[in-house]
Amino acid sequence: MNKNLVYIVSIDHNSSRYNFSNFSKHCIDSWKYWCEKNKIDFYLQSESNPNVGIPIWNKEFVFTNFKENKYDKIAVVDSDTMIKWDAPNFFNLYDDEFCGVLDTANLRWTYNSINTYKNHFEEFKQTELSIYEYINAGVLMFCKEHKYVFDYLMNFYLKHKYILDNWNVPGVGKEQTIFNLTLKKLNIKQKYLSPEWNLISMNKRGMFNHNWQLNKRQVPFFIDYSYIWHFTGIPIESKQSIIEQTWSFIKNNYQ
Amino acid sequence: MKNIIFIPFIDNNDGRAIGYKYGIQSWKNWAKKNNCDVIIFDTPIMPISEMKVTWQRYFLFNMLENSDIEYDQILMVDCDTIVHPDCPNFFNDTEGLYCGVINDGSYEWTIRGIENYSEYVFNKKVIPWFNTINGGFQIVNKSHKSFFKIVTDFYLNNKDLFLQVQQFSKTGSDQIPINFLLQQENIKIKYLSYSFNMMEMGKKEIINTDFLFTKLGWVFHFNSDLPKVGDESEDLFWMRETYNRLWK
Repeated sequence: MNKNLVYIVSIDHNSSRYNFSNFSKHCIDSWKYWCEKNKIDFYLQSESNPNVGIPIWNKEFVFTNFKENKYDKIAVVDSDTMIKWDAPNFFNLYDDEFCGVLDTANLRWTYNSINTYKNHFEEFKQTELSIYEYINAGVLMFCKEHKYVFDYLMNFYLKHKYILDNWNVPGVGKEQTIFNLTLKKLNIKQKYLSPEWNLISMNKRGMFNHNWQLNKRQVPFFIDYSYIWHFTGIPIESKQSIIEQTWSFIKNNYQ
Repeated sequence: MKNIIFIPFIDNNDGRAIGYKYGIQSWKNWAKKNNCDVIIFDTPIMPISEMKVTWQRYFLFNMLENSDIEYDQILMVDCDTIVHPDCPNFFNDTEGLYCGVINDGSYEWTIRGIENYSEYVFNKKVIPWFNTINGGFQIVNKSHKSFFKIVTDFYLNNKDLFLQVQQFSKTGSDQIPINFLLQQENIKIKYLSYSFNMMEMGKKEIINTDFLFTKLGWVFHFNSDLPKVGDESEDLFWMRETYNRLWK
């Protein structure tokens, strides 16, 4: 029988103003429930790999935690994502592709980020990545055959560790763009999933609203119309409160 | 036979037409470069209080044939768009399919529209919210003539209902219903990149006086969330300035 894995990194680190564990608890609970229901292994990395400085780069070391070929398919998801209790098993949505959801929330950010990283790192100078093929790295689904992508990223990180751990260019993100540039550079076959599978910038998209005109059901749209809720695009100060409100609204479904 | 750019443009004497003229001129320029003809739909077939122009445009094939205009493929495009001079000829990339660009702005607007039209017009049927196309850029050909007949018949048979829901829902006119009908009639759609219908550019944070958006795509749709610059209307400012930068 195929064995699949959901992997989450949630590490409190002195480089962050906020402790991730404050808001990730309920998100992790949702994933634990869903994994158990769908007979999928779940792995929470709460201690950083000794080779890693900034916690976010632990994602790229996912394959170092398991024996090679232990899992057929793997999903790496951010600790600020929550999965809906009855979401279908997304591992059935793809075969051998590398999957993600296109990130079109702020194209200025994406444009600037791609140009900044391309100009900074020789490895990506020739990589032509369009803003329209850029995926959000908060929910990634792939196969064991993609280990070499992560090997490339790990080596890239270790080679440039000092620069990346001290990266302070504002408004261009950390590893997400390097992830996308790598996928493009290595010519990885990708499959773009619908936004239901990584609903980012929910506030900007109006997904915290319900239909105030029909007013039949006072449930925010994101709950009824998507499966993986990614609490991005919210000021970090409000994130914990919004996640807690969400959890108190839906937690009874996870029993 | 030439490909046609078909642009609904009714001057309501409310001042908005000034900006739209820049859009139309950009399409005329592009059409000349790409051996297409531009047809402006400027005389309504029936009062717009009964059928908005956005609905009347689906009489497209009747209008062309009544005027003895020969055609191959047709782009129906809104007059609040400006095309980039270097825009590739999208007619070469349609594979003979119905083409559009996925709505990528306020999901709330789309979902609320779907729920409202589902409730009042489409017998509680629902359609997926994440792949509806924007009505402002649609490419069709002769094979879609019967579909447009279904669209116009459906509207006329349910006219009063549509007028009520339009008024109540405030989620546009034809855009949500055309997506219901496309799915109901199993019309195969080819989705083009956002760069061919760059809607809601304010939400994407690309419309600013640095004109970044002009580097990121081909068809700029000045439909909502435009930043205010000076005293004049947003669409006039952005359409004129964009036209002058790209085409003068």
